[in-house]
Amino acid sequence: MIKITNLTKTFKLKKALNNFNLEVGQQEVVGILGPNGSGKSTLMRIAAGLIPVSKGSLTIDDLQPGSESKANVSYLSEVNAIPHGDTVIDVMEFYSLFFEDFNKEQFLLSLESLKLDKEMKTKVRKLSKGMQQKLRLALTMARNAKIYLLDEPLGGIDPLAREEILDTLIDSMNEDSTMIITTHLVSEIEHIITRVVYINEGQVLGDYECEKLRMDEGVSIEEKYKEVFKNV
Amino acid sequence: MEFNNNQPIYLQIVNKIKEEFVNGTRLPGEKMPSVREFSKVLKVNPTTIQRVYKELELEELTYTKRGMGSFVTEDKEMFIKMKKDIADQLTMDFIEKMSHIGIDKEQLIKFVDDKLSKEEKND
Repeated sequence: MIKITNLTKTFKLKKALNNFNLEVGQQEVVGILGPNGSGKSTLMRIAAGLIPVSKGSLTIDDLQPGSESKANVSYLSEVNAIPHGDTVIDVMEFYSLFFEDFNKEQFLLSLESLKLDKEMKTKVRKLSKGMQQKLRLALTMARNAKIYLLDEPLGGIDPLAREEILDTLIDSMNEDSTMIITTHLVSEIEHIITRVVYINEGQVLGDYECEKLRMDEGVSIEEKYKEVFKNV
Repeated sequence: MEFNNNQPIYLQIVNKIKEEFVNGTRLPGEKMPSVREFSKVLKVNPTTIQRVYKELELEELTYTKRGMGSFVTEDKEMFIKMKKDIADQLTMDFIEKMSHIGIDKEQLIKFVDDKLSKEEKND
């Protein structure tokens, strides 16, 4: 589904991604874990078609990221890009106009379980940070896309809201979901991901099937994280 | 359900379900929840639940009715076997832990005897 080959992305003199290689197949839920500045968000922005590659390639179903691939990819950016003056209804209408695969019914159901259904007429800027993030996730997951790219879905969110966000994530998953989730909150996504990729300085440090890791080495994703990054 | 993150999640769920079969929380012939329902309840990836169901079916503890989902076996022999398997495992764990602190066979039996007769008195 996603094939990344020798991908390099340079910003001025800094290499955000350095000969990065990864293949993600259907039904995989991949957690990309690494410290700040390891290249996680750059990778997601390239896959979402927001910035070009410097060298190498990234393809989604054999397509370069662009308008065609974007139709199949639902992306949650790290930075909130929703117009703050809009109400929740405005944002919903925009999504349903802009994305053919947007499922209003599912969106409204998620809002209900996130206790946001009474805020339909509220302007986005009046919502708390946690509520805005819940809204953004509900929008992203209400698309019936082939691939979901979630960049730091739990960033800056208090533990209670985090749990609600994780519940929404699981609610909107099915057996065929393909997802890439970046985070530095390792333990929170332990039961959601099927595969973990540890990255640092724009390169893959380790790549494991989660259940196999627990079976073969008897360690958790979090413990492996500590081990992998110990000598970095 | 609380998980131990150092062990495969699907195996922990399989063992929990076996316990539920044996203690009657889930009855013979009863319908199992759908993969999606179950993944929501346990808050784990649906793929994990799929694997759980595959494992249960492989061990012939459940069977699939086409288009209707997964059902608990009605074979009584299987329940007896499951109960024995779980009891075996618990006993092995117990013996191993006792041997770690240097308890030999005779002492171990005495411990169990003493505890049981004390409990009987309290009843």
